[in-house]
Amino acid sequence: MARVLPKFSSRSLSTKRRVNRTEPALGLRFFGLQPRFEPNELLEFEFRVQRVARDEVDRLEISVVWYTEGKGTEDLGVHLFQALSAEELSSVLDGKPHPIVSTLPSCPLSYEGRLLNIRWCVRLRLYLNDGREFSSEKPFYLGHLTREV
Amino acid sequence: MAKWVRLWGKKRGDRMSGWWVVGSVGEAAFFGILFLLGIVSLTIVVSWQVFWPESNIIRPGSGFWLTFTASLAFAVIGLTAFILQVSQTLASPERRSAIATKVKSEHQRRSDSEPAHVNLPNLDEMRESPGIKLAYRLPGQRGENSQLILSALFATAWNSIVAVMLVVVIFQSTSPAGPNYFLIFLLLPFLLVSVVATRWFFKLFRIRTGIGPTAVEINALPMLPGYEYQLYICQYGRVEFSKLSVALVAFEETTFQQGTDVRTEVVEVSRIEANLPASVQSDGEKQGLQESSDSKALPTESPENVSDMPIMPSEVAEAGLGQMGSEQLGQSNQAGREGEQTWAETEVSNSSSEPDSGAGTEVESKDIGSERRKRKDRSGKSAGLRAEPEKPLELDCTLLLPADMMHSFHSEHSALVWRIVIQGESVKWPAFYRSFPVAVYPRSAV
Repeated sequence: MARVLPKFSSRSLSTKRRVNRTEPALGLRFFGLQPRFEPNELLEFEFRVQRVARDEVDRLEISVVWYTEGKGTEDLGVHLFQALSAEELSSVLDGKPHPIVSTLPSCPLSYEGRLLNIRWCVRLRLYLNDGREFSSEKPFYLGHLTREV
Repeated sequence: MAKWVRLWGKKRGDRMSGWWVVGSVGEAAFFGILFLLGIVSLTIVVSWQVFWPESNIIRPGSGFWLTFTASLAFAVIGLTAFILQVSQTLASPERRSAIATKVKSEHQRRSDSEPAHVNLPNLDEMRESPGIKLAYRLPGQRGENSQLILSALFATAWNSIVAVMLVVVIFQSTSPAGPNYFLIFLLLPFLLVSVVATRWFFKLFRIRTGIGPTAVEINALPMLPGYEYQLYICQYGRVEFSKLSVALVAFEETTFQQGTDVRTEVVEVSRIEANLPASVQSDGEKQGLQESSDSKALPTESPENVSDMPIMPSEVAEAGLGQMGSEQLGQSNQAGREGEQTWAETEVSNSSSEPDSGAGTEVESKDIGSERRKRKDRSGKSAGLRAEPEKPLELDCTLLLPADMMHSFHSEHSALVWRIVIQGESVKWPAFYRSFPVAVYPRSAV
């Protein structure tokens, strides 16, 4: 019996790490074990920014948003938005986790339908002085509807 | 080796190749130049008209106001697009959305109106009409008459053209030059379209006005998951239903761009049947049983089968589901055709089983249809679903909402809409479909 092994591209077998060491690291973590929250519940999370110097950073934005996905054009709704000023940045860029607490709204609930999905996430955007932009997001469910009705 | 900056990019799935800054700067520069061009031309035209009106050095060829309007349009379009482009480049989507939300909430605070949920339907319009029996009378679905209006406009316009052509043909025929045969032959297809358009209009007019209006009342709004609601349905006019169903139906609606077209797709995603009164149900069940005992081949017409009945093309049209996606519409039409075929085959097979069947198939199927209607009339089985001008059909039903259902939702391009849908089949009218939007709120929002 002939043994036929799958052929992989040599490019995808590269063991070299492609992560650029100069890129900043953005971390987001919920305090709870499950990424599921009920409406009007407290959303507690922390973020961390590492591997970047203060003088390289232009601004940092933290937001809690919902957005629609599916066949239609994407819509976005902002529940919480914080843009950190230059003074606040120096205290944030120390590599330590920084907690944020916010009361979630009553709607819209997370939903997965046929044409329309509603998703919630916490999003972190970091803008550097050289024009580069880095973002990280952590999805979560609001409510207990994860499927269409 | 340094990479060259690509001026033009290609779409690679969700991303674009090339440097996005070039595109954004180029677009902003184009609209900036358009704005400057508009401002400069506007200044020259206005100042010349004000200070040197008699001079002939610059004389706008097409008049002062036309040049003024064109320059103003250039300036407005250029400035708007420039600001939009710069804001999109400099601010993140979250920041722009946060600014918009802040402006909206500030506007709401100044107008001193009751704070409303942005993504839930407004209750004011639904609550503004009190009911006779229950708290609120629901407004009908908007746009259900749009097809009738469209057909009226088309028929009027087309008939006007045909009338003008007809007058010209008559005048030419009576003139010494003789009739224009080319115009006469051209008139024939125009007359045909005219007849079709007029019939189309009168058919829709008959459907809309013949059955009579439907009133739906509900005991409370907004509807909340896990609660039971009372509905009161009143059907006016003269109509007798052989099938009738009342349900709370969820539709997903999305608007998207396909090339340069903006399309809207509507899909039914959930259906919660209402509990119809016991008298109506038992009548229907009896009807089904008697029908099946009288003629085994005829399909039963119990209310349980109502939700499974095929969607006829005419029903889709009457339902105002013209916005439905072509794929889904095709499926519905196919389902309708299949349903019609099944029905016809059943009747034919039944007729052949009868001992006195000596005539052709077409005649037999008509006889069977009339016989069936006569049987219905004799037994009076659908007497519970009959509306007379002096005695409208009244139904009290209940609607139990599951606790884990999705609430109503709308955003700029997407929506999940709940509607109370009344669907039925009448003996002499085309399929009946009327819908009434309701608001379902999450329990946490109240």
